[in-house]
Amino acid sequence: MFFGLLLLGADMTQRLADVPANMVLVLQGAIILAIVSARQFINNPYVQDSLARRLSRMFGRPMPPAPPGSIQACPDPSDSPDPCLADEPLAEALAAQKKSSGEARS
Amino acid sequence: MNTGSFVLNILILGVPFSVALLLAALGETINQRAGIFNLGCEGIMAMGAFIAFLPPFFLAGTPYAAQANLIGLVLSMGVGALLGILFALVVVTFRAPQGIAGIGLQMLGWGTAGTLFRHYVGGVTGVPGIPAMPIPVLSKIPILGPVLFNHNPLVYLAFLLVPVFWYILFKTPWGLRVRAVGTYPRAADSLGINVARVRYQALALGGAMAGLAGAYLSLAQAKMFADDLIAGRGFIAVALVYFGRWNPVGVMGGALLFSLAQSLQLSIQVAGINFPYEFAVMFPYVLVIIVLALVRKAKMVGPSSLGKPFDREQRI
Repeated sequence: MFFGLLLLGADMTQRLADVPANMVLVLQGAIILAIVSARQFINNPYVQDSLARRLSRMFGRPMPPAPPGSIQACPDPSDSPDPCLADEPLAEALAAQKKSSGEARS
Repeated sequence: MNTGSFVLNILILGVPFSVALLLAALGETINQRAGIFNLGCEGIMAMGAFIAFLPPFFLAGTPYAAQANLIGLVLSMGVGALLGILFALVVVTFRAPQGIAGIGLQMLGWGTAGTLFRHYVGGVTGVPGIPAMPIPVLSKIPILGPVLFNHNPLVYLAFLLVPVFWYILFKTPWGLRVRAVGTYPRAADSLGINVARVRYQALALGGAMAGLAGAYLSLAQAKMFADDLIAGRGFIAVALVYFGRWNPVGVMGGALLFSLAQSLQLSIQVAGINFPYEFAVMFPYVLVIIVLALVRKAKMVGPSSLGKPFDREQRI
């Protein structure tokens, strides 16, 4: 249905606005590429986040805060309890494990 | 026309006909070995043909006219590589379906070339193009000389690239990485290979080769540009990779077979042989379908992750 509508639109643009057929092909190609790319971008918050960070790094603006629990927010969970993992049960478990291993060593 | 000269004519025409297919199919082999099949090859070829046509067209009569062909070739490869990177952005980074994205790129490339051609050039115009460069002594050998050694430099380059691509694919670390990401990207990723980067590199190289194939058509074969100059060769190149079983040597065999069939149908028409014209035109394409059907039955050794986007976060 999408391709049918695209073709119909292309025909009408060519007839009514006198846009050459080749230009219509450019539009069709660009729309198809944009739609198939956008689907993944819209569905994946991590791709959005990574792109936003990359852009902000490129243009020297402050980085937006990372979503809680994401890889960027918690670079190495095996370190001492990180503030970003403060509410997570994993952080508590890690802290408890470190404490018990320290006691055992002493 | 006697049979000997008829066959010789087919061979002489067939070799240069195969070059555009061979260049594009070599690039496509690298793409498919990396797990991406690029249906946009046709669009990249169209852009390459148009961009390569511009320098000889605009620089004619200037002091730079002698270098115009070389500038055109370099520009066409550059534009092809950029379009390959655009395709990589869509299918590797955004993990879009490769078939649909390829059709989109084909339309984008074809449409852009046609629109810019109408705007900057207007109508069909010829350019001097790349002249033939017979190899001394070798071109004088009877039969073999005119068939193999009396062509323009791009023909020799294309056939020299076959062993080069074979060596790159099967004997270099980069070739091994390309084959690894096309066969089992998860294993390659676990070994520290950056799958996305290798696929970007492969698509850039494949795009540059498709651009060069387009440049060959506009500068060496037709010596002009027209909207339908590519005439489906990009799609044939994709089919030839299957035919050649993802091996540059097999791809060269497929390109030669198809171009000889093409040259046979042209020779039949030129010789005035009483044979229906429609069947003659149909013949090379029917031959490709028959050969592909036969190859399908044989053992396929293609990349197992061909066409599958790689997502390292995906649970399996």
